[in-house]
Amino acid sequence: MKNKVMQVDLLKETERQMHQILMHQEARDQYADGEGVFARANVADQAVHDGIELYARLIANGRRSLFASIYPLAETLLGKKFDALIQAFRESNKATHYNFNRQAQGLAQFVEANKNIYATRYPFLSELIEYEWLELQVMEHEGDLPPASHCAKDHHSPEEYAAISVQLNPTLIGVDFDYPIQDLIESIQSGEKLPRRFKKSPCHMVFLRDRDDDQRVVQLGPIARGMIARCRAKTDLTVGELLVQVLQDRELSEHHGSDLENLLSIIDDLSEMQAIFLV
Amino acid sequence: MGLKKSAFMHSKDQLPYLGIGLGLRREIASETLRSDKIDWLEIVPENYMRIGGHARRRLAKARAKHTIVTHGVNLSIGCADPLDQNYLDDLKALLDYIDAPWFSDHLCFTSFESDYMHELLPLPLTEQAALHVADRAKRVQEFCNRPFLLENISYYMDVPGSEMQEASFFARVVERADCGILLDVNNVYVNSINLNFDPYVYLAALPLERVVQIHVAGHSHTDTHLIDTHGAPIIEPVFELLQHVLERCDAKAVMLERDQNFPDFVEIENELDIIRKMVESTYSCKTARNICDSTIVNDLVAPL
Repeated sequence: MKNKVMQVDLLKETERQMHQILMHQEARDQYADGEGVFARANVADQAVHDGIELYARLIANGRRSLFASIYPLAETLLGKKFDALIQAFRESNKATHYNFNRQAQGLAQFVEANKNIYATRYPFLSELIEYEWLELQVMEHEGDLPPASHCAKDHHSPEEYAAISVQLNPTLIGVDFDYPIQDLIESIQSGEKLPRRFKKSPCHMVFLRDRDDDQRVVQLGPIARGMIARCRAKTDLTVGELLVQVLQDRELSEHHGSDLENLLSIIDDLSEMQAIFLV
Repeated sequence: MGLKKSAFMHSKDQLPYLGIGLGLRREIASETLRSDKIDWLEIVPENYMRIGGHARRRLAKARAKHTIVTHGVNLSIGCADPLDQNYLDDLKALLDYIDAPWFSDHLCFTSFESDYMHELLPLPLTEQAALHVADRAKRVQEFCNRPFLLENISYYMDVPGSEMQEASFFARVVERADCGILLDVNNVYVNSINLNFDPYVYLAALPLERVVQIHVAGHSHTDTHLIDTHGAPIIEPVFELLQHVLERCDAKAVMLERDQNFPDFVEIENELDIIRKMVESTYSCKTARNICDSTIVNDLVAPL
């Protein structure tokens, strides 16, 4: 038993050193002068040094293509600085998930936590990165969407319609942004020069995957947002209950004109965009 | 009286013959699923485990048409950390869903202390590492409840401290684990050039009777190395290695790996045709020879 532990320790030590050397530039610059398995004293073979350089390059190139495929707008915006950002992110964040794409999770939080370094020129950078991450998230979300049904209000009496169940799209993710993110994205995509100062303009966006497995990103107003929040809080809500809850919300009714016609029209819109399903 | 067959060799006898396959890749999925030149498909399980949307839809379509096996990249069988049970649970659920006759991963490590490096990294070729990997491979095979195959990776340096040749290490692992081999003949070729050894000597040292599946692919060049990119046509010396292996083992499936730099799909189908001809001519020869051999044996034992 003791021998087995020693064996694994030796293997672990070799793997620890390889991990350090391949994942950290600083360790790679110094390993040959150290004392470990890969020290110059133990490795006379140039082929090992060439191999390490090659592996480090393969890992870095793979990581770069991965991050660029998930965050193409951030890459466009940052240019060469994008490489430095992902290198810094990866040096201080483990890729703990077996799925390749999820290696890139958490970049927005990293930028936000280090905004004095990475977001001085573009204060909205963490929001842009979050936006691009959520686009991927909804496309890969595990949730199954209910089959299509025909529950439009025109096909039912008011009583029947009020009794229909409302199901929230399980892939839906709602996020508040401080900056007018969709305008910024359009500017980056069209290659426009961005202004030096960015005015905040808070908005609430929802990201979802529809029945055709296409992605939708939509900005919601306060009433639609309130409806989504209620559907999330209670899974077996009916149309009637949803309407009553929104009508009873004093803030919504006082400030946002929640008359019945308007609410029914918003339910239609949410259903049309597949944020909710009437089943 | 012959030697007693191991449990794995018994299960290999029961495995279906799948024929000629291709990796299911997003970029060429629609052509792949339309083609009539493909008998079965291989998927990278990490791209489908707990993932919905297009990936799940693609998998459902593929499953309706073909037998599917998985070829993982992040089991990290050689890692000194404990096996990742969440990974195994997700893998098992996928294997059950597609009803895979077998599954495979690489003889390497890809993570250290829960940090995935997303590169297939070579192990120190030591007796201790072989025991460690074999023990884990055995447990993985038992947990997933179907034959497990390990693939020889392409690698670009010998890890310091290694005590044996790669073929001996590979043989030791699969025999001790009593699991199968996914033999990648392109990797054998790439390694033989990069690390300067005779690929035929390498093959002679492997227990080829354990080969269930064969990979064949193209590779690329840098200034110093051949790189296993799966992004180019197969070259002749790799076809020669494939022929050599086919003549010496009873493989259940041969697969073309093409993962990038995709050509017109017809070029992929042409490569599949070449592979099919090689497999069919070799195996029909082998069958004829077996019938012939058994006739001789019967003649010898026939009463005078």
